[in-house]
Amino acid sequence: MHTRACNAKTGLEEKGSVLQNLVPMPSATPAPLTEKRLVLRILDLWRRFHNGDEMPLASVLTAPQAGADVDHVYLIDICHIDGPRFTFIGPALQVPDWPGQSEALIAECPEDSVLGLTSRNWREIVDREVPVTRGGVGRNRGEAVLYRSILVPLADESGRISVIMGAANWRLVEQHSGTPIE
Amino acid sequence: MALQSSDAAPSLARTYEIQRFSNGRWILDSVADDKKVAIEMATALWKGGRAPGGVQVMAVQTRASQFSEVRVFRAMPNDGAAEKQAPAPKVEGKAQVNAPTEVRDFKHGAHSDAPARPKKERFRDLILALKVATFLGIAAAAFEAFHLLSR
Repeated sequence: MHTRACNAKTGLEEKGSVLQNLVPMPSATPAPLTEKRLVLRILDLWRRFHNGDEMPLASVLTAPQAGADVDHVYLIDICHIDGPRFTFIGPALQVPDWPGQSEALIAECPEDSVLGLTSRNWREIVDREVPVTRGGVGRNRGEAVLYRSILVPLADESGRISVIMGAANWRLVEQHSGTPIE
Repeated sequence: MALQSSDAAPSLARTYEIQRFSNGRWILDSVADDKKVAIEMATALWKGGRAPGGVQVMAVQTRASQFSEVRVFRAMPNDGAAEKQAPAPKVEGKAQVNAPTEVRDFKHGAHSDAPARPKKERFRDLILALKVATFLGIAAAAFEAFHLLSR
């Protein structure tokens, strides 16, 4: 006996009408939804580590938590006695001709790098106490780039902002004559 | 404390504040420098279920002593995440510092408070005025006629 469901399985001529009566079943393993923008992924990460209204702790939300985005992440210790300094810089953001950058002061970071362009806004995050995303044009490794970054505050055990996590990505922009990029 | 920097944040003409509605007030959630990104951030906040009370994006412009803002996006539980320009409750947040000289220099604040009357209603008023005038005319003529006949 040919049932309509059997026809649907075997793909006979009644397939079109049979499919209308089939109930769609959810997949056992749904495809993971990945946010396209790096800044939104980092913002989502920061929100996931929220504890109610408390800011995420710097001891809990560390660079490896960024997963595949860790290459584009950096951390700033703003409580260091010598001034705010980097404690971690993802490989993609490292500046080739800048020695000792893993613990370097932000003030010494070259401005013709995405790291320098984006990290210099750290004070705004301390003032506002919320994530801030900024973008623009600049130069990175000698090339004109269009970048977008995000800085999110992380707190110590007392609830005070002690670390800022930054993330940035960019793309090269073509230089046309007469089109300023900086 | 090492909170000194020679690299202060650049003074930008306009920023976009993503705010969420919680406990009867709007709370600053995050800040963006781009409208499109700000709306994406607000949408992510809304769809992620982290702002069940609602979200909005305010375009904020700050000059030396003036502060102005306008809502560019809103998603509330009752309006189906639609973008609206209705008046919002007063915002309370760290970045919300209203100077005494606050102005709202965007177009949305230029509307008159009194709503315009419908055309049909105005026509009805005109008819009523004509009826009253006719009645008064007839009454005056009748009075005059009665006065003349009674002599």
